[in-house]
Amino acid sequence: MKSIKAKRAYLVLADATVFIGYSMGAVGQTIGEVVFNTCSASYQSILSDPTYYGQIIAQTYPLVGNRGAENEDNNTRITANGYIAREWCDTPSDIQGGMTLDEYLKAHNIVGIYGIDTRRLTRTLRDKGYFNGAITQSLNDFDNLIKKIKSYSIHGAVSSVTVKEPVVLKTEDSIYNVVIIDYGFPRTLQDSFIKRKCRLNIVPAHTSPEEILKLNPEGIVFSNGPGDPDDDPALIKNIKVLLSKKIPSFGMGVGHQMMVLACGGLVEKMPKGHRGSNQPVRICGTDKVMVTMQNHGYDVAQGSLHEDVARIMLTNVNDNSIEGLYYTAFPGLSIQFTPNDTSPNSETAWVYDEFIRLMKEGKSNE
Amino acid sequence: MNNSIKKVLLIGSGPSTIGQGSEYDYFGNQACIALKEEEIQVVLVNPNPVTSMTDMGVADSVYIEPLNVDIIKRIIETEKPDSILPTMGGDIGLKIALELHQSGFLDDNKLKMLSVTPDMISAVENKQSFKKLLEDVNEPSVMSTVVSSVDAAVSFANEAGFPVIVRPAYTSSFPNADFCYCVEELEQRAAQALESSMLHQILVEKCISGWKELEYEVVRDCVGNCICVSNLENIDPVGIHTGDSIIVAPSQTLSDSESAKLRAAAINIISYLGVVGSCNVRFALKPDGSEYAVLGVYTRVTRSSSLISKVTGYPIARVSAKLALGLKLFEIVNDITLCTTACNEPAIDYCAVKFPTWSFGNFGEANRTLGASMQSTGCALAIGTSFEMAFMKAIRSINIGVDTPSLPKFSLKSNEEIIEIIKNSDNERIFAVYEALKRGMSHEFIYDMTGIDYWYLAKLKNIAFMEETIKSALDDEIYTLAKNLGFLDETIKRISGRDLPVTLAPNYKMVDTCAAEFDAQKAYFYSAWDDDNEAKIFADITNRGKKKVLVLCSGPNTVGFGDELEYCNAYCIKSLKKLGYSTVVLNNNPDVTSTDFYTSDRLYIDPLTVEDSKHIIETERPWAVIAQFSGINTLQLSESLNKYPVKVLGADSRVIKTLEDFDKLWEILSNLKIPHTVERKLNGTVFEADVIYDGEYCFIPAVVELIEHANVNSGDSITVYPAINMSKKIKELIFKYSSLIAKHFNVRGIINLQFMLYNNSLYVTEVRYDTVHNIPFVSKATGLPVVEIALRCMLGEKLSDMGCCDGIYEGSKLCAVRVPVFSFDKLSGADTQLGSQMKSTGEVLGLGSSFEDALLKGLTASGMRIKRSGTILVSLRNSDKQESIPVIEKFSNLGFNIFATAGTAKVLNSNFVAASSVRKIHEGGPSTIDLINSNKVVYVISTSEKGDTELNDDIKIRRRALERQIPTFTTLETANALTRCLANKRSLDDIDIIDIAKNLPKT
Repeated sequence: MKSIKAKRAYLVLADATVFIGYSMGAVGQTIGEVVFNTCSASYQSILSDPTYYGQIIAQTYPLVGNRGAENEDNNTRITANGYIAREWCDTPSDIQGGMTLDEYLKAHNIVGIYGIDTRRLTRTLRDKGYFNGAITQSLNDFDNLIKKIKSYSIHGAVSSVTVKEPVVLKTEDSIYNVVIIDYGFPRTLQDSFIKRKCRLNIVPAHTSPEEILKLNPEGIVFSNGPGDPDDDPALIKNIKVLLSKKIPSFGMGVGHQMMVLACGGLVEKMPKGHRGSNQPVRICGTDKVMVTMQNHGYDVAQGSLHEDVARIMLTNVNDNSIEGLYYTAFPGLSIQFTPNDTSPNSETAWVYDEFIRLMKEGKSNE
Repeated sequence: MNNSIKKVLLIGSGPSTIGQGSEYDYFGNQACIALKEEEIQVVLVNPNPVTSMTDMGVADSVYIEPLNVDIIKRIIETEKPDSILPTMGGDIGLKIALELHQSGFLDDNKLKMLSVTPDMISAVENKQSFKKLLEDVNEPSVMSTVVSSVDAAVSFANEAGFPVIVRPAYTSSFPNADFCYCVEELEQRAAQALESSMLHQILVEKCISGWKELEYEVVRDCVGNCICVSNLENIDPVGIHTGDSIIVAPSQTLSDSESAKLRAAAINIISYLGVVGSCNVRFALKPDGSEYAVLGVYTRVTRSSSLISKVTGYPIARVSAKLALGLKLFEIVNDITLCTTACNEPAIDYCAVKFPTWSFGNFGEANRTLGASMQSTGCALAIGTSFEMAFMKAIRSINIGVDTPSLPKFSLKSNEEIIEIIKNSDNERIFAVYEALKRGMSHEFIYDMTGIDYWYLAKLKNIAFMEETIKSALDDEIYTLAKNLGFLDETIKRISGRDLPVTLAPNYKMVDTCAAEFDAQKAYFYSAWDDDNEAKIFADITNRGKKKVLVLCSGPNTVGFGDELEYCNAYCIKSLKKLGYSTVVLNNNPDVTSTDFYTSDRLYIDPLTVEDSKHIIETERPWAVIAQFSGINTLQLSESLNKYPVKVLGADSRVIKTLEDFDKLWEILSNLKIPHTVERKLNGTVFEADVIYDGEYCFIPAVVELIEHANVNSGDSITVYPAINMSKKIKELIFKYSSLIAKHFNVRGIINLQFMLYNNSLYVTEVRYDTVHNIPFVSKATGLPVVEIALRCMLGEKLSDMGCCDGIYEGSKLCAVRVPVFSFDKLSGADTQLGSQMKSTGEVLGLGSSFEDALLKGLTASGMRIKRSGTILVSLRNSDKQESIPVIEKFSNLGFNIFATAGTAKVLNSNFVAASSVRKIHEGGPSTIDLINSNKVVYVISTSEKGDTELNDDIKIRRRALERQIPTFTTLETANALTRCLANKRSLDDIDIIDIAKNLPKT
């Protein structure tokens, strides 16, 4: 058992609210946008999800780290700025040759806090919307800390997490030549394309349209990733050029939002965002609903795209927000969430198939 | 929604038995309300009167009739529903629906079966069809095979992996199961088993005991949308029935991918079957995660659905009923958030623990070892922000007299004894595990014996470590940490032996289906030691201007304190609401209507202890507290709340104390000049009355008569309304004594009195404020809202204002017979003889125009196979032999063959009652047991009890009769009642079915 009295730590929010807890992970001070996630498992995949760049993740489920952390390949980074849990497990059920969550956070130099009323935190974040905060082990110089918290904003997220050099992934039986513009997507998505016979050219976010077109893509993926969609206008300009080539296109998450901006649509900051594994999404014109995993704070403004450009393909059952679009101006689709393709009867895997279909049609039109 | 559905027949589950209890009333009640919301007419059939679903105003037509296919056909012919909903009534509901289909009745009458199809029911009905289903849907089952050679057994085991279990097929005795861990062992055992099989065949099954056991609850709508409501993890691995396991929600020891794999498998199965509603899938998962097997699939709501509903706030029965009507998941509003729908998978931000409760104390001889068949009679649910907190709350909720997992009796045992208890896996194993952890036995050592995951052992160890720390180093911070592990102030004080350095009050967190992502509009709470008191915020803004009543409920169901208390409480809450009060409920029993968040205005799931309830009173500040209908444990609790500025409705501590002291009670009765006795005489007649008093006048809804007289707990007695042997004079006397007693104690409310008529004199034999077992039955028999009338008296209303006379109610024209139902088949070794300890787990009601008709219905509904000819085996204790003559003579005159043990036969023959003699078991040769095995015996009358020399033989006779489902009468009175029924010559077909919603007076 961990020593009963651990080292104190504090979570300080921008409005000077202080939660007193104990330190976990790395020692130090960290500032970020505090967001909650309602998943009861998946702590490790949440931590390694690049879309949390610059954010401090708070788990609403109180018992975290029950299975420790698996040793992954060294490429995995934690892009989040901090981690909040009510309780972490120092005696994992099956440590699988890995480490405890605390050791994992330490290894990745992530500052964390545990032992706070995470439900109160969630209620605060829910009611107040976006909120910055800091995890710290000392409350000295509090006013200055508050100033720092208030002035924090996430910038350059994409540049920070995108690949530095192009990567090519292919198998013997690759059929489709696909370019993925990497805004910082979880690497588990690669397999979904590869198993559908895609040769993947993963290129850095700022690769010029000319460079991309030189690769002769049969399909272009605007990946998901962290940050705000309007953070870097240059990226949107590039997308505009690529879309004009009418190459089958597929946007996810922030890629979806930037596609909308490139088409002249609008995105808006949502009152509290969608954060968790249980967001129900309905396919328009059908009774079909999918349970999706989401982490985003922007959505597409209703009515901001003309029907000649795109029509709504998916909506959120709870708040009716737009979750996916079919484009009419060019062959393409884009969705707000990360489609899960790992389980055999995934409800969202068809989105990949839809993209493949567009590429197939593109091929046969040639 | 499917607009062709207008009128639905809903099949209830019948009486509570071990494995199927009040949760089915919770489902049925919720489903009825859900259907009515969609403007569907609901016809309900359920012979169990202790159900809210059969109350006035829930369904449109209510048939308290046996769950018998012929009766159901008659109900359908009368009511002409267009659809039948069979998934709310347990296995019996599905079984009846399948029979109706197979006989062509559903098609002939153009009835739709909702939620499931006959194919789905058949697919999971038996082992073979289930195995086939799993093959078709490509999900793994527990590998097994039937082989006729050692080689085949070995090659199977090599493929499936060791260990395997070997059983001979077709043996003369109950086959032994042998565990084989290697080829050599298997070769040897398989050869032996082949020898002992009459067909030279053996069953070889992969052994999965020790695997993790998990359940996934999935719901699906008619267009194929599925969600997983939650999963459950058994702390006790495969080998102990899930109903006897401590269960945690959500699962704690699964990796992300393991959990995703099982969720996908559950959705795969429900999608393949096409169930429109809920489906429960039970899995075994190898501890290393490499393999899993599907253990069971239920295409209906189950005990786990009830637990998951309460754990998540997702009302599974309600959603299932609406899905069955053709609504889609996204069309069903989540009433907690009002902004999400039934297609949101609940998000949980707490940990829940279910702890089973057993009633072994009521079944003295029963074996307490847990295994493949369920033996628990109830359970408690506890919710906390940590596992430890939830576990500690669960321990407090199960009423075993401890507030930590330390059992004093275990501290005296040697290590060897503790290990023995752990290995024996009885119902106290977890406490022995805790003791072992306290003594420093390693997790590995305990895991090897129990298969309980290291994670849970570590958590228990945390509790043990905290106990130690409190002893030595209590300070503010340790105190706070201890509170977060679920320790009570009282516990900390006791363990530390000193005053608390600081005290903290809990605050209350919400169960809201969404982990606070949305602002809840309706919610329920559990205590935690955190910053925010969400309940306070709620209490301040809701139900302003109404008087608030806190209803303290009864906790886990046990034999003797179960459904009837919960029935009364649910009624009480509904009545309070109707009367304009704001209602707050404290309970921890997940299987009941009072913990349905729709029932009350606010609900707290927490232990029913003084300290736990004190804090709720401080948060809610109710005007009054009521515990009248919750049994003695909770009544005692209300007593200790007297020091708060809160009114206690009903019996108060003064009265309860007096009634506990028999000498004092008898003295009071003597002063009132009321004859009394404690002894119930064999040939006396016993009456009971529930007396309602408004401070001035008395009202008795019914005087009932018990069939069994001496030494049988009144809860186990067949009870008749109206009383058969009550003269006008006796009736007047009963009312007179009742009035005197009620006036003496001067408690507005309800009191239970028992009388005995012996030699033309009437005696009072019991006076109780905590007994409510007749209330549900009397409510249904008379149509009177007994609980509501009593409650209104407690609240200060006058009987005359309610239209109740100062006297005994005479308005009902119906005869009603309550028949107890037992679960002896679930309890290995338990004797079926009745005694002063209550043993029945449930009851049914028979309604008719005469006693005989009502009794026939009641006995049929209780599951008894009524035979009108055949052989009766009689074995009596000496004291019964003379008394038996007229009873046995009646059976003889009805044409039954009588066989009796030598002594009984002699008495009968010498009194001109023909009886053949049969040898006792110990006498050798063809004996009573052989006679029972011969398929000729239709009834057994066996009355010996503890202290009788015949006892061992008779227990064997009774157990064997039970195994062969032969009705056994352990008192002469019960047998005698049957003769009246049989002499009447009317069969079930001759007796009217009764819709009580139309046939009883309304007040």
